Amino acid sequence: MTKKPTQKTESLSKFKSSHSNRRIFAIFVIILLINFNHNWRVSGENTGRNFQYAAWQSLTKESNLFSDVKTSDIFLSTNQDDSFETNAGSFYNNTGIRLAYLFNTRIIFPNFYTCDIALGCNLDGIRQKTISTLPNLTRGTFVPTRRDPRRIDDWVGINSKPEVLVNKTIWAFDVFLLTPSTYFSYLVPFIDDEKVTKVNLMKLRAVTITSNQKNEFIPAIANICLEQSSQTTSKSGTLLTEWHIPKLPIDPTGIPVTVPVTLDFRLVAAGTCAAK
Amino acid sequence: MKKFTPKRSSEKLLLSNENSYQRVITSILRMSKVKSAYTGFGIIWAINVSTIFRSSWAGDDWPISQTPYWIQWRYGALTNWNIWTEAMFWNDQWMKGAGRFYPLTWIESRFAFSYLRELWQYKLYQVGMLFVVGLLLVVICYLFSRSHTFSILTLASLSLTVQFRRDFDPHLAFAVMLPSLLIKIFLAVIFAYLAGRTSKKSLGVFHGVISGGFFFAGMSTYEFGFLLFPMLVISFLFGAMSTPNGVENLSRKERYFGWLFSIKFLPIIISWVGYGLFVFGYLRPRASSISGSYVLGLSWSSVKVFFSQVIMGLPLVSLRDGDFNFSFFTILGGIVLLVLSHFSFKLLFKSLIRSTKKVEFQNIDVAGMRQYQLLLSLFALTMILSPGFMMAMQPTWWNRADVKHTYLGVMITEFGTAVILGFILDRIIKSNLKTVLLKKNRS
Repeated sequence: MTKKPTQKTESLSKFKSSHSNRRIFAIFVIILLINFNHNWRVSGENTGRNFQYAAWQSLTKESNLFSDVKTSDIFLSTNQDDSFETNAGSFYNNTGIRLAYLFNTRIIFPNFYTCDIALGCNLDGIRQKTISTLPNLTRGTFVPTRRDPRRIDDWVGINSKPEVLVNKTIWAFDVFLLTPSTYFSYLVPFIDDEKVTKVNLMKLRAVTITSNQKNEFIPAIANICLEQSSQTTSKSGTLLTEWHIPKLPIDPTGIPVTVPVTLDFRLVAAGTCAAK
Repeated sequence: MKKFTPKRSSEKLLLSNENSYQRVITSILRMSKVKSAYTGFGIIWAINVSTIFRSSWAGDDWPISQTPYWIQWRYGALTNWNIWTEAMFWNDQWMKGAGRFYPLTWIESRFAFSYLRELWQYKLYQVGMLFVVGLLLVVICYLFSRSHTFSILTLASLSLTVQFRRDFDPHLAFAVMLPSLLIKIFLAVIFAYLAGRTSKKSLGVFHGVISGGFFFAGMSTYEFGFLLFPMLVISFLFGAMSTPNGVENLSRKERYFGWLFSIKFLPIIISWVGYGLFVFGYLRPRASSISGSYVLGLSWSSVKVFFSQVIMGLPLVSLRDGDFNFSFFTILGGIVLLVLSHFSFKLLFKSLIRSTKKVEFQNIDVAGMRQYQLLLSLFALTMILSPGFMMAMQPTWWNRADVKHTYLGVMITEFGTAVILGFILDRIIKSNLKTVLLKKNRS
């Protein structure tokens, strides 16, 4: 008997009904979904700094906090960290102001946390220490021979030349989260005195950036409640409020106080007052 | 059952035409299903890696993302030359200080962060690079096996083995160093295969030179690439075995060690030895401050570290408390993945039904199969074992590495595990189909 040569089409349904293959599909899908959920979660877990990052952008691009800052001025900041956006490079990119550097206070005063004001310990020589520390940031002997014609020298080299920083303002500056939804920043110039490290408190200005559309408190500096100067909504949708030292200052309990014209840098601590 | 024999030549011609038409149509239908299965699992892979978009700057990416601003501040403008200068500065520091040589990471990361300044741009770059790594692995699997089923199942397995980590994560952070390394290593593997496959000596040497170049670039991206040399050896052997004459005329010794004497493989050896001599013979002895992380040692702790890292590519190994809490979005994404998986598997199974006459489905000679399995296992094991091997030899990891804590090389382990998983799935599915076919024939 001859048989017509037909291509054997195997039973798809039989194959599909193979328990093992169905099990493979089921196990695959279960693992796939759990893994997808895991990756999704882990990916979303490192977004804790997003608010700080966005607030820094608003602070440096949209606030007037830095209107008196000039090129080659120097910032000292307790919470500054080059690992994040709080650095001289990002500041220059966002504000257009090219600082000599944004130093962490501990770089200039290594004994900052151990030098107790109550024990009479004094921090001195701020300008001299700052000027002598800056050259440490140089790239040393590594200078490529083929230079960009537009580049005269690197910025550290320019500012390390004698007399360049002598008349520049040194500012106490800081940025940190006052509450999980409120980013706080202040800026105040140091007085030009090498014997003490004091700031001119009357020139202090501050900014709060709030992720809520409402200030839940009034910021305070050195136990003095600040007064609102202006308020706007930033491009990222946060509430940007500028503050200054009021003419008739009160402390957080509501008692009128006198503002000292100068204050030791270590006493410039942030606090809160009840919102009106 | 009598065999059908065509009586006349016209009948023969008719039958032959009929068969060839059927074969062409079957082949086209199968290929369209294979392509669809590739696309389906490719989309699943893309969706999986796209979860990267949800992350922010992470790990070293925070400081590196500030690169363009530092360059502007220091040099006044962001020019290509200034970016290059910045990269070379850091490379110089690490060469002289730690005796490490990985300039391509400095160059790539400095340029990438200088031009991809928005978070979404950088994340797109991360997603794209990781996606490409997966595709290259699939190409390699196909070259080695000539089996679409195995390649597709490896692609599918990647979505199970690639898991983001909560400590040092190479997918979300670290300037795309690991995907960049793997892209170069996989390209080197592909060209090593082509070098082994080609019978023309000049073309083989040319492929060998390209492979050696990519390999050197890989090691210059992350020194870890040095340990992946066996992958190139195996790839070259796969290539040599796939030639028409194959290795039939070679003795066992020649089969495995012949590559050592092949001029086509020489550029790869030069690249490997050259890099090793430069780093371990020149840079390390002159390094001024080698940190504890780069000092090698061996102790009983090494054994524990090694075995803890070997399993890090297994699916679900990095699950922690709370990972079973699904959000609305992950449920939605899960439904999409479920539907895609269903259709992709269905298409894969259908293509398998049609491919029973194809080479990949026939019983190839047992010796050849064993050799193929051995080489493929060695290829995958190189990826699975080398990260643990490296960490086991670093005292800095002896008290830190365990099943919850791993390091950047874990991505290599994940890709190696995907190959093994793909191979196991391929065997199981094909054996299931064979069982069904046997039943059919008996009935």
